[in-house]
Amino acid sequence: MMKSTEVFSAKEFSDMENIRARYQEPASAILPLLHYVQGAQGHLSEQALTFVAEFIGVPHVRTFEVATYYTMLFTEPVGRHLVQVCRNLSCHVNGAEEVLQGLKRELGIDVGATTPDRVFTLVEVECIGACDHAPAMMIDGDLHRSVTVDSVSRILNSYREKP
Amino acid sequence: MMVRLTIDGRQIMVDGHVNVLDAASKLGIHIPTFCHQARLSDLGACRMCLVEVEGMGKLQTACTLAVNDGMVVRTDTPRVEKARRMMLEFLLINHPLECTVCDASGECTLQDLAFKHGSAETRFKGKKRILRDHIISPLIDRNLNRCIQCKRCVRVCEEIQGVTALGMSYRGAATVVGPFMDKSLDCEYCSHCIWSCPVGAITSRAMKHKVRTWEMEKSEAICPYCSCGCTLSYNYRDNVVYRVTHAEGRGLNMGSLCSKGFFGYDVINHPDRITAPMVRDADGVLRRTTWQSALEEVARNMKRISRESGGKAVGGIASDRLTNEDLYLFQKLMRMVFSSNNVDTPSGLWSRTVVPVLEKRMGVRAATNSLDDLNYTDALLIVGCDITVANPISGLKVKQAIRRGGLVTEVNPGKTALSRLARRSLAVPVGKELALVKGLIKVILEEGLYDSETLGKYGKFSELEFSVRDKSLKEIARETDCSVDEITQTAREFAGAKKASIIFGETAVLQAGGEKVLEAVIDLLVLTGKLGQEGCGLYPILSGTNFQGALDMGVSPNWLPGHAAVSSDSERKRVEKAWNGKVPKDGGKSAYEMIQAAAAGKLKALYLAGVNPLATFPGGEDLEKALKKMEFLVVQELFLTDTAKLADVVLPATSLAEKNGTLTNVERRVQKTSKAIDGLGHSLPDWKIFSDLGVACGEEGMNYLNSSEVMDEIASVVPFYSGINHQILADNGLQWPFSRDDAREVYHEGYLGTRHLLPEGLSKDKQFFAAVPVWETHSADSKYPMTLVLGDLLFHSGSFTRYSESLNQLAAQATLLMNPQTGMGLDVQDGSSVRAVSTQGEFTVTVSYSEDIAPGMLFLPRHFKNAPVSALMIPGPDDQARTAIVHVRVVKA
Amino acid sequence: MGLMTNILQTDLIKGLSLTIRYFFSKPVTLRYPEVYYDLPERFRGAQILKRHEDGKERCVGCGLCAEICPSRAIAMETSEGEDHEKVVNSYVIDLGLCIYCGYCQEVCPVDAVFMGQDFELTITDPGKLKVTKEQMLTKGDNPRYDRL
Repeated sequence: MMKSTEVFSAKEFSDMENIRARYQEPASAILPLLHYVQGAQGHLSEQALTFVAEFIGVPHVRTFEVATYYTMLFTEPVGRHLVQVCRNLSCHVNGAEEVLQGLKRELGIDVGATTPDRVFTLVEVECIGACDHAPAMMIDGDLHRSVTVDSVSRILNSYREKP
Repeated sequence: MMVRLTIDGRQIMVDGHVNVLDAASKLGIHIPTFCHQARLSDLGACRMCLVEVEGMGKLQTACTLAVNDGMVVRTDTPRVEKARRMMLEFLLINHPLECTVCDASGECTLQDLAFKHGSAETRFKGKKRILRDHIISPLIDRNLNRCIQCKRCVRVCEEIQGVTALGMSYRGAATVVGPFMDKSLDCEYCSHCIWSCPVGAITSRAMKHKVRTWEMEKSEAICPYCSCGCTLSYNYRDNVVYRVTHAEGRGLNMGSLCSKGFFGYDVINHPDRITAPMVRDADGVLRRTTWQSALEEVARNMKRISRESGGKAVGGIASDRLTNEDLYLFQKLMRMVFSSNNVDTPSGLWSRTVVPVLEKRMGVRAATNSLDDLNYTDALLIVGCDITVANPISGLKVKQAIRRGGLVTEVNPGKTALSRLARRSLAVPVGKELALVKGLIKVILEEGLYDSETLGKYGKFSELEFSVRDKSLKEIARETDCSVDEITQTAREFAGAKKASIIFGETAVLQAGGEKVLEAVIDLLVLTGKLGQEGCGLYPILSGTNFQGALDMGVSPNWLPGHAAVSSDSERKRVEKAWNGKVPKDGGKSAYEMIQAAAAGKLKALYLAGVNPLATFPGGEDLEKALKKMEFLVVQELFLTDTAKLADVVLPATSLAEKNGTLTNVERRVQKTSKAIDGLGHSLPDWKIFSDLGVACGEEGMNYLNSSEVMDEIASVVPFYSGINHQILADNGLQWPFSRDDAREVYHEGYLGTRHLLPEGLSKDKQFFAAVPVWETHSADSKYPMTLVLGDLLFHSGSFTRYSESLNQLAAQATLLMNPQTGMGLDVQDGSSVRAVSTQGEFTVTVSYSEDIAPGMLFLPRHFKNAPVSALMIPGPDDQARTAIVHVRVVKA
Repeated sequence: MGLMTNILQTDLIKGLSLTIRYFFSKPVTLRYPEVYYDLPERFRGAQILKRHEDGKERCVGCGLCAEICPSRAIAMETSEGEDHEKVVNSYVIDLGLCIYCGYCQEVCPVDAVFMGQDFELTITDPGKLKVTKEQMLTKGDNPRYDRL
């Protein structure tokens, strides 16, 4: 059995206990817990996955399965800000491809990669529910609508200094 | 509820819980499928079993569709055929066409179905998906590109083995099967995933690229590695066993095997096997010779010593890995030809500590119930036994019980593979098992949870009450490191369950005063009335393959075949009449006593059949000295072991794959094992050697044509084997007692022997409680403060499997396991060297930290050469020999 | 009649004329072993093994030839190589058992084994009838098999 202090701060651990307590069956808390850990630590490390599995009493491989199934959960470290570009139909016809090219140029990285200064990670996602203002992208929790190649640089800059 | 349905125009009545796929197979209609496997949950993942059902618009998956009354199913319409062809086309988009080198080729479901239903052309022109892959284990080979995502391996790992080492990670086209973090596989190597894979995505590396599946012949046999007695299938070509396969649905294991059974076959054709008899010449060198001269040498010397110094100067120890026929002839040879009752097996200590208690208390000499009962048990108490190691397949049955909601409580000096799954795992220190069982009895008495029928018979339980009066539950809880609540709950669950059993093993019994634990366990069973019915009983489990058979065959200093006492004149007469020879009157010496007598010069000749005392017997250097002192030492072995190197004559025996015979497993099931390949070189089956040796000694009564003839004689001597012969065992094992009358039932009623003993309950003279007091354990000697448990690893069986390259890849070296807490107390680091010292001897070994071991406790596997446990174990007569628990001192090296 | 024949020796002349005719015509037999018969392309002689152009053996060790062989003349030993690929350790055809049916060539999925043109199998040591993989590969390197 792993000790919580090896992976988590006291605050994180107590938050996790609260999340677990919300469910009658501890195993049900798997997704909220992984979501929380990702929020707190940026990604899901091997130790974190092991701990969460033991914390809710499921086999280790189960947390790994869930973590790799969802594209929003990362098992590798990601940059401080996560840039998610929608490439689904509405956005695609409205120029998502150009936006993506612009982002790649601006950040100097390929899709799925992280900038060397570890500030941005660029990923493609399926529909993020903003088809009415396509093309759309999401950085961390913020939705950016009707993005153009020209606005990309301005939007990115507003995040560079953010923690 | 039975329902009637129509499949392809034919009507069938089936149980309402059955799915369409199984119903069809009852009619002999084969619906193709990948993801469906017997004993697994149904998933409907592969879409191969689509069928047309009247009234349902879309095609339905037969494996997930429950039968319904009046259902009309068609499996042979063009629409179904088209769907099958399309499914195959989809699968073959990415499945690599490398059947030419794929090890599954020939028994691959995809290959078979593509032949039958698939089209020769593909309409997909793109490139095949290529996934990054790597080696995940030394014995299990994964090939992701061949995977068809049927999830059978994942389900079998979780649902049958209860390990859940494999999962499906990532998604969509990138879905892969793999272990946690896709690193290396950390599991029990049970081989179920290899078995369940319908394609070549998971295969055995032990036979990788060595042989094609169709080149091998198959032969069913019994696994040689533990007392469970699983049926397996040897696959061989040109007298070489290339692999073991699961015998689907056969035997008490239903095909399931463990790591030893599946990977441990490479000892059979090991290059180091002895293939010719050897005799020590005048220069003291072992030289190869003919059977005739070797047997003459043995016969001359053994006869001479027996004549000159009396039968007491001759002794024999036979392995409990031998078949019943081997063991029977061994003791007949020793008793009749060499006039000695000095016969024993390494498991003799168990027979002389456990069996007398069983006999005294219940009038039985074996497990009362069948292993299959474990599947359906409601409450199970496991005392001093890691069932998943001692009997891995019985362990699977316990895991099934847990999945069904059975309440399993484990009482062990550490954590086991069951701990994670069981309801409760009580880490009771060694020597405190009795206190815990007495605690359970106390709760049952105080809360009135006992069986009313038992109360009716006994009137009152005053003795038993008296025995638990002195200690409060709190004190017991403190002593056993459990909480009062845990003890109370366990007692309530056990007493309240409809079907409840107790398993107990070596760690509880083979220690000072261990018999008392057994007495208390029987008290508990009697008190709660959990005896003599299906699902209620006692399982004494020792891992030695044929330990029960050895006892039944009379390989014991005090018992003749059929558990007849040597001291009884009438029994001796009966056996003498059957043999037409003499049986010595005085009781013989046990294995350890023989070694002691040898050291004292009283025992001059020793016959060792399949045993390697230097690896497994207590005594260390003393033992080696005693063996060297022997005037004449015969070793009958597969390998030139350390003991064989000391021998005057070495006789090459065959492994279980090379001989016919019967084995009796832990649930009294006599099973026939059949020869797969011919004996290597000049090696002969053990029974044949004993028979030839008897004849060489001039005893015509030892002349047998084959092992079946030996079995016939056994049936005439052992009353409870009287209905058993090789022919009747051809298809199924039979549980003794099995009389001649029972034999008729087999053919008529499908009767397979006595499933549970004591159907009438305990006889009048056995109706008492032992009521042993809550045992005051003497505190450990301050010089030797640590308790060392000498036990088995899942991946090895005695010192024999040391010769298996595959199993050595899983575990090749012994390390001293201890809790980090203990380690810090002793100031030894993980990976550092320590000296382990007992009153007997010492050696140096590497420490490895493990959270599974209780603090203050140590664990050392007894298989390996680098930790010669023989040096630590304390020899002595039965009441003193300690082979499972040793008190030691650990010093930094 | 008989007399005339006797006198004129017409039989002798007939016979001699045939002899003389064949004496000057092209011979039917070959002066083997100095001269070889030109074998048909699909002649089934002792087997040869072919290589890929880069020199790697074509045989992958699938064992189909050994399986289909009606006289069980082919024995094959394979194992796992360094890169976990399948390696053919030995491939032996016992030409004493072989009935030259050509099934091995027919079944080979990778065009590795072919029936060669070699028919001179007379040997003094029966053991030499067991042809190894190396021998067959060397035979296969002969330019006359380049078309295969």
